[in-house]
Amino acid sequence: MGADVFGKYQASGGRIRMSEWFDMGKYGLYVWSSYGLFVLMLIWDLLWPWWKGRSLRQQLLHRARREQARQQSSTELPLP
Amino acid sequence: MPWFYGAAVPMLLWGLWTALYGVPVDYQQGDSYRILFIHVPAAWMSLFIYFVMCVNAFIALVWRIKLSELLAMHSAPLGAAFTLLTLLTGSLWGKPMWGTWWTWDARLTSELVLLFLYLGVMGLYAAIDDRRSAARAAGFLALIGSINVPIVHFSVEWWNTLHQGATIKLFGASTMDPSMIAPLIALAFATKLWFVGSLLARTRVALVEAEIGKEWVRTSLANTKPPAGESV
Repeated sequence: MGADVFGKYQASGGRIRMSEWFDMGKYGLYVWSSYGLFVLMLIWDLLWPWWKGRSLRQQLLHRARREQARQQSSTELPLP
Repeated sequence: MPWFYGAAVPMLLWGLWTALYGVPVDYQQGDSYRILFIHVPAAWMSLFIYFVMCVNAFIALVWRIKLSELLAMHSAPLGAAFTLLTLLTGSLWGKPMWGTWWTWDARLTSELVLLFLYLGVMGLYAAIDDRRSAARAAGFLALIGSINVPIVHFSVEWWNTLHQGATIKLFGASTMDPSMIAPLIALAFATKLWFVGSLLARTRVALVEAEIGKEWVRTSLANTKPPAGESV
């Protein structure tokens, strides 16, 4: 936050101090928890597809590795 | 898909900053009204996403398009999240203003029913093993539940409720100061863009999951090393 922002609000008679801003005229708890919940929801939403994609990728890698191992073992051990 | 997030995030940041710092204090509600900038866009999204889900469910049921099934089903989690957010922020706003966390008011109750509808759709989709018939059954439930959407919207006009009437009107003058409308509109757009980005991301992952045995998934995955991340 630059001094110009504070200057502007000082001039307009708005809030000027950080502690007052966090206090939100005694409604701080309600206001900030609302905004916090919103941000948390966005983060959850961002992480979900990423996390899901990663687990799918691992699943596929395991599967590919299994198939590779099976093919190798069948070539190494000639059938009687 | 990253473009939607990329467009949403600056708008979101500007909207949040203006809502928390830029706009003046309300003469009746003091600073508590700042919850509106989260509560109202979230409430709009809860209805908007339901609408998107129903359109896709309808397309999926009539034309049996697999992509529509996935789009409908993967709208539901974020829709449910926005509905929950609406209820929680409403509660956080209701406590200091109405003196109660919750009341069985028409608006609040119909929004709660909306949350249960979302959860019902998600539950039904998860409960049936065959993915395609699960999507059809859940889509059918979503369409039946769409009766609730106008009830949520008009509840403040049809009944005498504790919840206030609409302040922003699509037609006619809004009863809100223009300086307060700007961040509200910004957040409403930002959440919509975010939803599009999120829906595409979720659907892409779901598509990979659905096609996991197919050749194109294997070949495209073989070409991407895990740290490379993003592309499927």
